[in-house]
Amino acid sequence: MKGYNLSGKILKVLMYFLIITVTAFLIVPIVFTILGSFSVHWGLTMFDRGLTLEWYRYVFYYYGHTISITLIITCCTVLVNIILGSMTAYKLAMNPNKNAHWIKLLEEILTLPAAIPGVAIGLALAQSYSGLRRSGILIFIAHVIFTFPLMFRAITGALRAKDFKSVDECAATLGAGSIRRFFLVIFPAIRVSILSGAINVFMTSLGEFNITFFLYTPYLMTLPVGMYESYASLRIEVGSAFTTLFLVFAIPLTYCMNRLNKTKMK
Amino acid sequence: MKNLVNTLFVLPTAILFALFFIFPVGVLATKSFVGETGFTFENYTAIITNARYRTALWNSLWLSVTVTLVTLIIACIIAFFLARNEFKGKNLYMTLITFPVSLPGVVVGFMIIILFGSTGVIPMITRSWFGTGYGAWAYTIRGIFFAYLYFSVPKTIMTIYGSAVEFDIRLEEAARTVGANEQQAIFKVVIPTLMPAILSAASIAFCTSMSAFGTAFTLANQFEIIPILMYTEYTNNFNLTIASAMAIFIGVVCVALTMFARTLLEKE
Repeated sequence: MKGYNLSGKILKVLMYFLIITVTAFLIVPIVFTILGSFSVHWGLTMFDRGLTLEWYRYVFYYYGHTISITLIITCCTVLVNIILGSMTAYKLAMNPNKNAHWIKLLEEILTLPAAIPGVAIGLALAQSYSGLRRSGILIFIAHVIFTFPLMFRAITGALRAKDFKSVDECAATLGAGSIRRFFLVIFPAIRVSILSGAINVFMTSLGEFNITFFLYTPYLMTLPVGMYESYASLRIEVGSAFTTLFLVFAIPLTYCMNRLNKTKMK
Repeated sequence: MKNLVNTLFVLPTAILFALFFIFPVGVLATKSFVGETGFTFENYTAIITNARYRTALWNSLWLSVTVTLVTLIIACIIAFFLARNEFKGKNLYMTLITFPVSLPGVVVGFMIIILFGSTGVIPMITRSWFGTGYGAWAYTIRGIFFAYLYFSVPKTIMTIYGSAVEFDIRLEEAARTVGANEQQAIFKVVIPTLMPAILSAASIAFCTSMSAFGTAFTLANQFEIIPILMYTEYTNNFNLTIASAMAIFIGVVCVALTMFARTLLEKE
């Protein structure tokens, strides 16, 4: 019995060691990215030549346009997907024969973009619509297609959680038409799910690289493509500053999403 | 009129998907079967017969298998620890360690440069301890391995934690009462019950590693894997048919594994 206790203790120590190592592995690089972005020169030590904001100025000057382009594409993607996703999910969920094969197949196709690797979708779009690349509209459409499943699933899930069909029918017997029922009855009831879906879409579109890399032109670069370029060709301090700017968006949004998902579960 | 309104709800999505999803993927699939004299399977067989492609395929496969196995071991231990222990700040801790899931692939690559680059954290620490820096692995296969762990581990922890929390601890206690020791209870009761979640997390980890592009692209110098090779064949060598075959190959593997993972979780 004593030997068993000892090996149990060793196992426990090993487990704590593993947990601490993994936690450090996940968190330390994020902390050092933020620290490094303020360093004048990250050489053998981090702050041997003091602190600066120069690298942020540099990123805004040379890559400021990538931030605004990305924000425009991302916000449009979110808006379009809120509209398309909720309309489609609503009609499919309220369909009287919603277990029919063709509806199942349709749902399958609509969620497929999330399962197909970005590189495959990127290559497919790049060879079919190379003419649309210059205007940037192709990047926007690609983001809509790729993030649609996230919104669609969030809303379908919400519509299935409660008996919205009878709510919908009740409103219908009182004389409300499809569009009115959708905007005044269903939409307000599932707004938390739509919001959490929207944040998910925002985050995915903001960080999308694999598809965009096949579609961008040097004049129309998104933030992740700009970050990639800075990692590949510029100093590590610049890469850190650029990444920190991305984290400024990502950290609060992830936090909000976690909070929303918790309230939904309650 | 009613029909028209009904159609209006679904039609925009249908048109968008037909034009910008089904059609391009169809073109991609068709392209992958085009040879010099028409229809052919050569583009697919070339992935195995051509030495360079085969090496890349082999690299992708064993890298993904290793990453999946290591991820499973680490994630199972941490997920169980979190499911069985309550401590102050647990919510905050979980938010912190699952944050990397939302990072884009290129940023994950940069995190590895920060850790294992020539002036990175690990070389910096080892230099101050031993005088010379060790662990500058960022641009080698080890760097890619750690990068894949960086996004697979948190994702897998989330999946397994979800099932581990719901696991009925009385089952394990029952096993202990009828005489099973701790290890037996874990290997004969707990793990088999959680098998669907573990398998589904494993298949997601595997297909993410097979198809990851941004991360590998940030880190890859001398090391070729299928997604990177696909990109070089398309842009540098203008070998569109081979690139399409590779894209379809990765696509089929990922869709199959994603569906497998989903069926497992739905059964639960």
